[in-house]
Amino acid sequence: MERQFKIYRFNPEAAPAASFQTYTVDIQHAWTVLDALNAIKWDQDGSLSFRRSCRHGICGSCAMKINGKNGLACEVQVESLKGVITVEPLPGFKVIRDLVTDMDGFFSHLEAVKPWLIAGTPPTDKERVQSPEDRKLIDGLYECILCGACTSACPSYWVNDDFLGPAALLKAARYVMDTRDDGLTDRLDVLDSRNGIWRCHTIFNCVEACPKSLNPTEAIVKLRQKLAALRI
Amino acid sequence: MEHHRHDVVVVGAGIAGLYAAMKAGESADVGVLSKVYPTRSHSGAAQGGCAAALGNEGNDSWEFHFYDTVRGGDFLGDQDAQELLVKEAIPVMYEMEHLGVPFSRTAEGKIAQRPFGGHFADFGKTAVKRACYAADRSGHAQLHCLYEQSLKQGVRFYNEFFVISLIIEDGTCRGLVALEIRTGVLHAFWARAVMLATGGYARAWRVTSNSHANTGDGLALVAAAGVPLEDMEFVQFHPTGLYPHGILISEAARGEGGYLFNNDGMRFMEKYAKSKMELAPRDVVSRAEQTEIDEGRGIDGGEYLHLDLTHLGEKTILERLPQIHELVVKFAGIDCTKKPIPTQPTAHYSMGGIPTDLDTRVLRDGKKQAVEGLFASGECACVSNHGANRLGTNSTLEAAVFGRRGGMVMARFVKEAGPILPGAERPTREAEEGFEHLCASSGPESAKRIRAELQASMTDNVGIFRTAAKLQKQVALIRDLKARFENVGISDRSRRFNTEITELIELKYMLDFSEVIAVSALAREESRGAHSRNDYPKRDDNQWLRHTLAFREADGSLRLDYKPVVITRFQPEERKY
Amino acid sequence: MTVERGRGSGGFWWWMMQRVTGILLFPVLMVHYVVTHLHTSHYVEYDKIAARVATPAWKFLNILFLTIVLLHGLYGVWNVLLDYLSKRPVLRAVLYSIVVTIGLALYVLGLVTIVPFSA
Repeated sequence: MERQFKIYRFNPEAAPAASFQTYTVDIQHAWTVLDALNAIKWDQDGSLSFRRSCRHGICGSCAMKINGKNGLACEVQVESLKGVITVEPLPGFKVIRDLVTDMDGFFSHLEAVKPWLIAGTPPTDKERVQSPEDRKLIDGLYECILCGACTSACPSYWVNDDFLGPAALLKAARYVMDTRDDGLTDRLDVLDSRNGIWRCHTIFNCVEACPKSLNPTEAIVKLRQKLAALRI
Repeated sequence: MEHHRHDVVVVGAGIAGLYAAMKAGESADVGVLSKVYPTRSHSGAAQGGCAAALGNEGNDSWEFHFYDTVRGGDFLGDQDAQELLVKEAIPVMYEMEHLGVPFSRTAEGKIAQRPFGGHFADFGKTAVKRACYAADRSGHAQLHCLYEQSLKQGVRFYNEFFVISLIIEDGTCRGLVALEIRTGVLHAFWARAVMLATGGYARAWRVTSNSHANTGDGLALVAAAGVPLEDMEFVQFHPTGLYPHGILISEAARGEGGYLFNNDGMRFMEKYAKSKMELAPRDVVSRAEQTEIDEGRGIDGGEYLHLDLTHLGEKTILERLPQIHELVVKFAGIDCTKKPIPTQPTAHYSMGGIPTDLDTRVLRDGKKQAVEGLFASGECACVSNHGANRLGTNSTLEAAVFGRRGGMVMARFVKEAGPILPGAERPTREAEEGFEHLCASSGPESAKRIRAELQASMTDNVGIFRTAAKLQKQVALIRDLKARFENVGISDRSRRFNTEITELIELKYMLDFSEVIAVSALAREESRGAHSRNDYPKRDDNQWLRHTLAFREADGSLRLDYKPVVITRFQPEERKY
Repeated sequence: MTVERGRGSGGFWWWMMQRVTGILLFPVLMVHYVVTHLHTSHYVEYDKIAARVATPAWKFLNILFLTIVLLHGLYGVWNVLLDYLSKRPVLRAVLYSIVVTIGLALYVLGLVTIVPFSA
């Protein structure tokens, strides 16, 4: 079945302004948007640039805006979309070229929350003991694939890219909620800062955008509760 | 060209590369180049677990793990390397837990373990829970943890840098040349130690579980520098790729009790591995599946079978195999708590690779002599841990154990080796000229067609069952494709994030090592592990208990050599499951 | 890439204040609403209302009302402004002064209205 794709094009080496280009693709059964993008690149226009790698929703490379909603191109079935399919780069990030956005700031925010285990006691020669119930506390937090869909959907981030954003804060929660971690105070200067957890206005766009069905807003609320418990 | 200096440069940011970077970073200045952002690396796709005989859920010992690894590899693995792998597995697993990997837990709070194909206690007798796991996101959990630890260690990351050439002079590796994809600018990296951790090569097949990035870059780079490639004919086909794309459905699905059915509703593994059934090693199960398909018992006569989890119940599936459930819904539109999953064998893992010694040094003769300053670990390397067929969950284990080991070896090496010496101008200039030549490609041939023909023919001719006729045909075909590649053309002339160029270079790499695979497979006239020859159906220990080494000669031809297998403890025996 | 994070600027107590004033606002607002809009069976007459607001209890209530409304409302405004001001420290300082000045001015205005009432 033939479908039309209206794709955001930007390459400052060729033209200073962005534009949209429409392609018609013969869609096979069970094709995802990524399959369609590959078909365009390989058969019609080799200059179309986008990121992709695992093509099954675990590497996080191909997050983009598809018919107005952030998602992973490799996971969105073309048959689930209506009309002309509009494909744009993730909003809120600088566009490098076509559907490729600059993720350096996103990853530097991640690094800022000290995303590593800060344990108060040295380990033994065996594993640290953690009950299955304690381990459950980080379910819904550790699965993030860092695709950027959430941060890119966050209005607080759109107006202020210094805001750590939902992905970095979800990662912070993944460590703060880990019963093996004692690093909340070490992370305070970042979390409890002007661009930390207080910049979240609980808009819930991140929850809607997450292709892994995670809940960064809830994670931020958990961080606030932890901080409140520490301060009061 | 921009220039950089680091004591250690690591190429690739999967589990092996990051573990090496983190360890070396404790005392050395380390830079990591990755053609994707580190957390995009394919290690993150590993689902089921990472083997270590912790004995948290039943009696286990490294010796049982050792035996399973040797036997699983059909006795082609080097037993000194395998012994080291299974012994170090235990402290490395604890270290990963200490670093923060969110392993699932037993009721007592220890690292949880699950059964897996080929894992047995008491030297092959009873199934044992040995795979340490984090739900079915084990690789993802390890990859992210190691990336984060590398950040903590102050490792410098060069994200989306694609290596196009190694600089090796007088038997010493001095650095490499890489393309910054974002700008199209070339960079020279000068280092005392370079580690290749570029992952596997199964992208050369049409049906594959591998990511688009798994194009065997490191292998093609060292082969171009005259280093041989070892045991390249051994490629594992995973029994449960989601039909029709081959996306991985973890072996954990069978570990947790999934059944395989053919079109007659029969659990066909009864015929092929009566005692171990679905939990026989991967090569055995994949051959069984391919036989069923070839003999017309695929579902509705098609090219797939059914993996049935429905009897496990919704609770177990959602708790232990959440990602598989999600994958099958998203990519096949099937709820696996209610319906069986359509599966087919899928090209999955590369047992062969860059020959190294136990300290991850790359061997330029494939046997003894190292290239000074060049290291390799993980799937791109061949130590050889896996022999003719890798045991499930030994892959992330190898990446961790040998990545870590390589990191420590490199840290010691750079301390003793003195200052970084930039090489001559010639190699960087040659790399630049080669790159410019490719950028200017304007012939009539299409890269997409060459790639599609390569992948389809590799699946047809160098798949699960091979014959001399198919392999001869494949060798000729690849040579033809290589000739056509010389006339390839691209349309994108800009430098900024030009993925047409990077895909073209990846295709060149794939053509190079695919030829090695086909030639090595044609020469090996026996069936062993993942290499099954219909015309030589038996394992032949007299002739072929030896490793293949394929050298790319200066004139572009391939020369095969062999080296003996290291056998320390377990003598070859018949492999039955 | 360096990112301005405003280290140690401690949003916690402000956030807590916003919650507490938000919660307090509710009963105070209800009392205010019921008394001034529903519980008025008579015509609005200056003397009667003056007599009511002159009592110590009503003075306390009105000062409380004034305080929490100004804190809650102006902090809300400031919080929205902050979204846009991360990279503009000078403008941030200027606007902060303006918000605080408006707040203080309104507070003084409120106090001079509430406090002097006598029956």
